[in-house]
Amino acid sequence: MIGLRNIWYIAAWDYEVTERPVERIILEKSVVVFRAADGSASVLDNACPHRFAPLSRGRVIAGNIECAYHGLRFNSDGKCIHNPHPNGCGPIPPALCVRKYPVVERHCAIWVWMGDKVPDETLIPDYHYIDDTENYRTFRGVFELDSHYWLGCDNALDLTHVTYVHAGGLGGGADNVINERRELVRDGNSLWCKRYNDDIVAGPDFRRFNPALNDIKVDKQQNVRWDPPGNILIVILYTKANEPDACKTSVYAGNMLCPVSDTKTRFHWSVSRDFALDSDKLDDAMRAVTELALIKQDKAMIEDQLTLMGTIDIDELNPVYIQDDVLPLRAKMTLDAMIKTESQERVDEALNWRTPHISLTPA
Amino acid sequence: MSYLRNTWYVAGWDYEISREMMARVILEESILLYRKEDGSAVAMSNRCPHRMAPLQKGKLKGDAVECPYHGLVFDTTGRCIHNPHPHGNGPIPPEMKLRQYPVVERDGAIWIWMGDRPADSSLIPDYHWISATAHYRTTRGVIEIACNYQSVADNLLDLTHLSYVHPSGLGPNLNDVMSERLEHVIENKQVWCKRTAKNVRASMDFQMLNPRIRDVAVDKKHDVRWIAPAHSLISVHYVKAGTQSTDATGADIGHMATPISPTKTLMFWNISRNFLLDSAEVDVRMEQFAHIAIDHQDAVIMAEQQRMMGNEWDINRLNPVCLPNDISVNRARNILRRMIDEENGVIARTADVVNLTAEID
Repeated sequence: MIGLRNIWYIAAWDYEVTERPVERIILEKSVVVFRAADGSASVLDNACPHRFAPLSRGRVIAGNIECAYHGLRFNSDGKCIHNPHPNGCGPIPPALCVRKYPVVERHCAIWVWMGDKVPDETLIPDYHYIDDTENYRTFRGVFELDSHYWLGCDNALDLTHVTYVHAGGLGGGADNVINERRELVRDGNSLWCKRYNDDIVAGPDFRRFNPALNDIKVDKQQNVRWDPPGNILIVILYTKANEPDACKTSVYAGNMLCPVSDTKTRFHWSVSRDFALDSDKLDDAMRAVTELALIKQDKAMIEDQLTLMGTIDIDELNPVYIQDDVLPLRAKMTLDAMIKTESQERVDEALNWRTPHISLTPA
Repeated sequence: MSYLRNTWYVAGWDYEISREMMARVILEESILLYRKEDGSAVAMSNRCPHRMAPLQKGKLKGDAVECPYHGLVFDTTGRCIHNPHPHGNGPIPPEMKLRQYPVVERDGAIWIWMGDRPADSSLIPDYHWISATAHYRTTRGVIEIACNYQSVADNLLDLTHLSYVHPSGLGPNLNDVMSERLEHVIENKQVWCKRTAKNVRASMDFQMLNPRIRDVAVDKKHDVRWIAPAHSLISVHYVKAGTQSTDATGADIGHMATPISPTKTLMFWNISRNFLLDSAEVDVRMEQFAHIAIDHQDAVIMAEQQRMMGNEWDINRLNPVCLPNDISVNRARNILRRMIDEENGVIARTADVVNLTAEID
């Protein structure tokens, strides 16, 4: 599938990765993810180079992964370090190794770099709300979406859908969006769409989450940040109308979409809040609302879109754009340009390597 | 994809083929299988040459087949003998016929010849254990596996997988593996992988199945033999350690792989034991053992291998890293590739080109 490779993808949440190896498919590439006893996570190509059995069916022994078919063992660099045949100590041809992918564990997630270039940790988007447990309380999860990851991003990047797809819950009434002010901001690799609604009534779900918002008018900010390729942060910030320091209530929701294939996505999500940090009950209430919105309502809509569209790029179907598509369009243009640059760089590099001895005769 | 065609494949076990018509895909061709009233088996193209309807959904009229779509009737040689339109007696164009495939029933199997050359029943591999019921008791079955058929021979010709894929049962003790003597030989286009071990314990599964070798030291002979196109025969026999007994106890285990498509295989298997022939308890245990080792272990790893290989059916095109134990695996693949090339005339044509070049020089 088409996708950006020199970038970080979330392969899994930290709690999903243990000494029991798991398979993840990222951009149609099957990889195995596991931890050594010291806790460090590794991501390797999943196909054993001997007979292509998946290493994810094997087991981890002293930090090395053992193939389930003939018992070859690979270390966390992907190098074969043990061939049991014959006599427990067989020869190891130098080609017997698998690709190792750079890994960073940050913000409670295992980030993997899928490209050939030197990995750049500054490209990991900021989700510090998840690991800053002193100031925020977070719950999170992951589900599989049977659709293209960009349709998932498209959904989160245009929050005008909230009023309709999540009617009666997360969204306020339709009248809330009429007087909205908007601005689009570029900040390095990130794109922000900030929306301000002043002097309105908070949505019913938020009044339930934080009773302080009941019976008052509020100013609301609803900001969406996109980081390539499929990382979204939604910030919802309420304050008392005209009193920017009163009744502060904010929620930071992460949607980190990892493309499996053109028709499959692993959708990681998190919800962090800065109020009622000790309340388990509020966790349950907010989780119920989040799961309904993401796993029931959004998922159904995004999967139905794919069914109607097929795997074609949505922009090639001549969709009719409206003003709210500005953020998803900007993000898509940015991503497409990055993918194009990446493939052009490979072409240029290949031309430099292979043609120095061939001189093109001018016409 | 090209297959070896002038050879015998197993189309079904005898008990699967009956007066009820069934269809099986073999070498990507849909084949109709049933028995005549005299009990002999028939194999013909399953596709009616008129509108390509599947004959298997039609009716048997005596030994003849009536197509479910427009009622054309074909006899067991594939000739159309009746066209009901118009007036119950329509014209029959000479091309209205089905390909008929030669069939032989032997050793419990219905063998089918897929080639154009005359069928030669002397080429059917020997599986006499299955029919020699006075000396062997056979458990058998068939499973469809989502993998290329050559993976089956790969699996069996490299038994170093036993300790890993079948860790608690079939796998020998790792210490015993180290004392095994291993020999890779070719005899008459048959690839052999012969293992012997002295003074070891039988694998847990065989100890469980056969009390004679439970908890005693044994000498073990464990041979795998490959016969083109896709037969892998295992002979595993034990005698009490140090005795030169001819009275070995063990089993002959056959695997007949029939290609369905490049990435699908029908694998027929038999386990013929020469001990406790009358024990219903061992019968049941053998069934359970086969269910775990074949359906839940080997078939799973082979399908997973294919999943990692995607649509590629020739593992060597993916440049696998080969190890010393792959020698028999690669010998079998080379012999088969050469046979297929010969059959397709590739080798003859290459020779022509070489000769031509020589003349030009």
